Amino acid sequence: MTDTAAPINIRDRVKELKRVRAGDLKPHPKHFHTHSPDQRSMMRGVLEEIGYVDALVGRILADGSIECLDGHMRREETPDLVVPVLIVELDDDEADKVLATFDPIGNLASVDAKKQTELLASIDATHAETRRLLADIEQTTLKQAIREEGNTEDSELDPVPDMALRQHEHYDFIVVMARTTQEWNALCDRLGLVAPKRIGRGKMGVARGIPAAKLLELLADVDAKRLEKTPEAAPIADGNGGGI
Amino acid sequence: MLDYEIIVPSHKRPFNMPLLRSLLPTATICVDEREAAAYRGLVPASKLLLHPPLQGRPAVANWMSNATKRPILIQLDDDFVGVRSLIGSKRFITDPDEILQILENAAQLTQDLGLTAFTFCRVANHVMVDVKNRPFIAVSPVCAAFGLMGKARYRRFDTELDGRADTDFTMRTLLEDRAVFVDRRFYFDFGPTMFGNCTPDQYRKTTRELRARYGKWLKMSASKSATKTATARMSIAVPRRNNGALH
Repeated sequence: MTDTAAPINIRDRVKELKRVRAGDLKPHPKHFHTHSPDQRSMMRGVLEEIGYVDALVGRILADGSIECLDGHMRREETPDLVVPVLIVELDDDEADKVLATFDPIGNLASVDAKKQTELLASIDATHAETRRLLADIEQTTLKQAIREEGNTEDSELDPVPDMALRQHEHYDFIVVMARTTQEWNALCDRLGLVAPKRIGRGKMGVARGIPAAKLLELLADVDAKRLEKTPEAAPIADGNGGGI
Repeated sequence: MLDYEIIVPSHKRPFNMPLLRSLLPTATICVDEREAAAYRGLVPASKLLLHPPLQGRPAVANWMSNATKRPILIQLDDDFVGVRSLIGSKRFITDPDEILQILENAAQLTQDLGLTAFTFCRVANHVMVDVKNRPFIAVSPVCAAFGLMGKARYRRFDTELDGRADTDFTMRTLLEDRAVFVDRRFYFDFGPTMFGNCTPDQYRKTTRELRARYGKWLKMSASKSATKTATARMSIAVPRRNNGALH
């Protein structure tokens, strides 16, 4: 026997659309979003450039006032403006649920970065804050795409694989400081380096470098020469004053 | 011995010349030929190099590379005000002999070590006491105060990447020559400056282009304030190990 889901009864809780002075709406006491100056500035920019294209959401309280459920920032930013408000019929518990889930549900949407980029590239915003918002959106999407794609082996994100460290590639140094002119000259001589001319009164020291490979060669030469000069081993005494 | 030339490109800043020339008296100043009159009198004719009208800093940099013949080219921005030593007593160095010695030492070390580009510390208040803050590292943007030799000497800046040509140049240097010699003991101070200025449109375009070229080896880290003022911000994320720490 197959299991079929019961039909879902989705109610329409929207009763009417009213136009109300924004400042007359009461903020919901449990509203938890905070809005930075940057966000407010961007909102003002979009409102100035485009205007209101979405209604706030509110419910009528027992005393006849309208409590805001969605649109608190717009309410604060345009208090004297008459704004569209969708009036919904919800009890306290339902209002709390809307407050808790309305924005977060929207935030769960993922982005088709290519489509979004195409849309953003096609927009010619005149307001500076709108342009800033669009640039921010694009950057956020770019960063998110990089973050997500970083977990894959998509070669598009590593178009120069040779940039990676090669096996055993490493950059380290040993600093050798000469405290006297004699030491400096001796070092330059032993390492086959020409001492650079000092500029002016020589308040700033001079520097030379030598790649490790070259230094190791020089040291190997030194070792080889030392071995050549090592005297042969002395004969082992036989106890009778003579050698074996 | 070193065979080099110090060259300073300048644009609409003849007022910087007295200070600049006191710090770098041997430098050649390279300006647009249309600005020559403004610079004459402040720069001796023998130290003034005139380029034809060109669009953008990368084009000027490429022209200078072609026009100068020395095998080592050292370039500084024209708003140079002095060198901050970040070791010991943290002096502010304005003695031209000391400045020249710092540049020559970096060029000499780069040449000795078989590298192709050198530059200096990018942070004015860099603290050199942390174990990861080494005096010499292998990765840093090649810009502001830098020298080129060998394969990098004739590497060209991409003129299509206005505002980000330095970053692209650095990445190509790291890819082809593996490392940059960075002397973090010294900070070449250019006064209050904003690097990588470009318009929002250019920012978007160059961001996409550089991401396509280098992928994960560049970090895009623009802040909201950066987009507001159209300052491009991008950091190099190329690993070149140095005592176990990634730089």
